[in-house]
Amino acid sequence: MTGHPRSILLAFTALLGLLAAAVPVAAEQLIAEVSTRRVAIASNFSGTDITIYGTVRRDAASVSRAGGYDIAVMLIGPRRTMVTRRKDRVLGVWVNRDWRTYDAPSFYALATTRPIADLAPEAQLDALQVGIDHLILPEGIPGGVEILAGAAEFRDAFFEHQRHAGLYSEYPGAVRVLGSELFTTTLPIPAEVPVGRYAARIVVFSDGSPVAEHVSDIEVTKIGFEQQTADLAAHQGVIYGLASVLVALMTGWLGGVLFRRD
Amino acid sequence: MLLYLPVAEWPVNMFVIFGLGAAVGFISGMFGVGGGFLLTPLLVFSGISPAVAVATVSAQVVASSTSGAISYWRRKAIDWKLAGYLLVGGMVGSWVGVRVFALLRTMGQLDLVVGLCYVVFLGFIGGFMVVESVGALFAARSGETGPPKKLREHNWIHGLPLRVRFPRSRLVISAIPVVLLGTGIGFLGTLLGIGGGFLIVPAMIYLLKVPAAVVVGTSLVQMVVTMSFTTFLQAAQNHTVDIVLGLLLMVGGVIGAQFGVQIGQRLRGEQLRALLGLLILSVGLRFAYDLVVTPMARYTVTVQVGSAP
Repeated sequence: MTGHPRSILLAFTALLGLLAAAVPVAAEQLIAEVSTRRVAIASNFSGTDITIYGTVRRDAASVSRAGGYDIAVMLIGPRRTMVTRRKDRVLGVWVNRDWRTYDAPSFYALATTRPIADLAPEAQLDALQVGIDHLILPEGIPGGVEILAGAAEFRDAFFEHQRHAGLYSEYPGAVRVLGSELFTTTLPIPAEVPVGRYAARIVVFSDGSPVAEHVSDIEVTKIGFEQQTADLAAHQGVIYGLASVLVALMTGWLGGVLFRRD
Repeated sequence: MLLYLPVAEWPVNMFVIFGLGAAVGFISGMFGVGGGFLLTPLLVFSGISPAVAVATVSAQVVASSTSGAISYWRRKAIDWKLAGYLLVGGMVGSWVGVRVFALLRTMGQLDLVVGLCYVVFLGFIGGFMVVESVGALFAARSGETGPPKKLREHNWIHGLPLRVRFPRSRLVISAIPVVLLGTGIGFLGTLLGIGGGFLIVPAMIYLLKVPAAVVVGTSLVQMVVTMSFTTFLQAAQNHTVDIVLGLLLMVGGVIGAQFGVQIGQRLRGEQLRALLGLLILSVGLRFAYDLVVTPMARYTVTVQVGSAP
């Protein structure tokens, strides 16, 4: 390793690689697949597991890696604008005062072969956004300005909240390596997750540098009755509203008829 | 058994929600109130977002008021003309309420305003009911009947212009306080996710001097129409009515109410009012506690309204 300039360059290459449909940045070839490309939320949905597996192939030209590979597997939810508010005491009452908005993934789960800090240098992890603490959070402050280096306490509170809600999680050591090149891991999707397009993203490290990357899309979507109801509620508000009122009136009337006392 | 709610996007235990509806239904049947003031906070407590809870309870209030209203209709204990004036105001109040609700939600102050309103209105009404009914209980025990109440005595409200005759209530009164009362209840009901029966019934008796025989039936008609309108607006504008959640609550509520009514008939009026007053007061105090005591989490995170696709 030649220090910072190179790792930043590498990070940029890695990011560019990510943008250009996950072209491997090194001679290693990463082949991966997810257990399901579509998570269907029906009325009995109580969360599910996604298994991600793959293999790292080395072509003849690439150097032999003495340290083997480290693998980070991420499941990243659709980005949302989220408001973090802080309560302050005003006249004895706790009131929401200051706030920050973050454009952040609604879900983030990470499994790795080793403790996250051991995978690569800090700057590298920052650039690759591997690890909750390394996520880039564009911050909006009251007044509408967007800055990258925001208020640490709001940032920390945001992460703490997301961890506590089970929406951000890390599983160091949860990626199992079978043999020398085959790896697999299972990440949970809790029932409370938002719907939308998820990405299963895999980064392979060797000696603290990313050598290959792969992204698969996973669609988390409501199906059947759940989807029809949600669609109707979101896009046909008038019809849904009338139907809701009708259901309420009918239920009330039916209750009155069934349990008639007079 | 877990059930995923399509609009709330939240899994709930079906039996817990059904039981919640039944328990609140039991209380509403026992005291003859809608129970929204209990149901909305309980739903929020079980993880449903306040926006969905408030909007969905308005649908539940429609269901629970409908069966009551029909029963009073059969007994012809409804002043339709008075209900008409009330619900014109009610719809205006509801329309304003839905807008204020959306605005407060965007500003992040919905919880605060809802909390303060619960403290003020529930604390005041609950406290008043407790004091009044305990006084009546003591009076009954010591055998005093007290001076006869002059219910039909006129007050300043009866001096206002635009007087209208309400033959069923044998009342001639200005339309202004009637419409304003409807507006206020419609607004508060929409904002707080309550039917407002415990607010409108005393107001009709003490302020408008409506005879007791038609008060409950008339207020129920007002509630059915105003809350139907609210449900519609919440669904159409804020997309926050979860009909699956609503249906569970309605069915539980209708069944629970039947048992509540039977218990309620065994208790005396003052006892019922004292119990209900205590219940209302304690919900108000609970909200006061939450506002004053240092919160467990000073920071809250919400998805910005309109950010989700």
